[in-house]
Amino acid sequence: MKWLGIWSRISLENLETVGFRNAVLIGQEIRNELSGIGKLRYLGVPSINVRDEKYASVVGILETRPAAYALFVDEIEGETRLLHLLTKLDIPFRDLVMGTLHTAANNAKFTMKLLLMLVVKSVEGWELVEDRKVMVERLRAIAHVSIEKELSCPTPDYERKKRMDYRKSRRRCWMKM
Amino acid sequence: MYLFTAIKVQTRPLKIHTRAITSTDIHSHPYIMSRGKKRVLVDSNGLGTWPHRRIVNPTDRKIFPGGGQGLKLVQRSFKLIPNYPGLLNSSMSRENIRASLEDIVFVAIDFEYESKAKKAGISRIYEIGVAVLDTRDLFTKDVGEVIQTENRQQKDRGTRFRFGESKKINLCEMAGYMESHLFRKS
Repeated sequence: MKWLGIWSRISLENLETVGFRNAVLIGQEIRNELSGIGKLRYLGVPSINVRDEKYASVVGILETRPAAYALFVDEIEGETRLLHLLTKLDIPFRDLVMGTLHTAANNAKFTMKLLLMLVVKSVEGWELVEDRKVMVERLRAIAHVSIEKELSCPTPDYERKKRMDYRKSRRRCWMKM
Repeated sequence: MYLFTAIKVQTRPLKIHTRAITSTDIHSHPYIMSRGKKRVLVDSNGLGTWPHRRIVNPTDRKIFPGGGQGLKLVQRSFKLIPNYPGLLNSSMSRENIRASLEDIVFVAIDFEYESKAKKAGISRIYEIGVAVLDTRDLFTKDVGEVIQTENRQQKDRGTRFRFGESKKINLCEMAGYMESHLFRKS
């Protein structure tokens, strides 16, 4: 068990007996997440320590931020914010209301897309066989798929705001009277 | 007889120009996470020489744990580069390793903390987001449905989660919820 960043810990005996599939954890700053869920024990609730033997099926842990930094420092001019990377790699996320990326699952989803694009980017100059080209194109398609369908539906936030606006307007009418 | 000689060497005090860490440094370098007492070295142009304009080697493990290595694993799992099983662990049989590396579930996680949690020094997570990409489903599923996302919230605040419905979760259920994603039966 070492911290190699990808943190290779493959103990196959455990794997075979338990029979779980291999998982790779990914995050923009995964160390924060891991420490966060580890610190839950101070609150007296169950927590997770991924270095524990129990989690042998977690084959690797990967941070996208340093990977992106290492891949193209010059192009991104040292800026490795998720928002910045998404715009650089043409991943559609639309300029939504502020805080869209501060929703946990949205952030996770775009991190995953970012990872796919990083893989595509890392293979860019290579001469690939036909199958692998297909794979690369598939990854790019997954990352670049448009999200208009999801974005068109009104969020609970938006509905709540509309409701509040309506209430305020009624209140104003009442004040005028 | 003793000969005493006194030699005094006049030296200028070594002055190192530094500046405080700014927000751009925090976002530019993977290991500067906050503004503390640390300072950044500055060259004559006023630009920071370290850390954010440094020539780096992508496979340097000290600077980037997993910068190059981690991507290699991902490339391998997408079958873009061949497996070299011997590199990983010599004690394992080849088939096992190949199976272990090609058949991978990628789990991207992200938490949102309560605003006062950092000051208090505890982690009060109120939102968990998980995105799962199964390498088996790459070609079988539709392009938009390959990455599955789930959102869990402690309290029912307004969310901007756009890829489904966010459900409620208790603080003590969070670890179990994470485990359910980490342990997947084949």
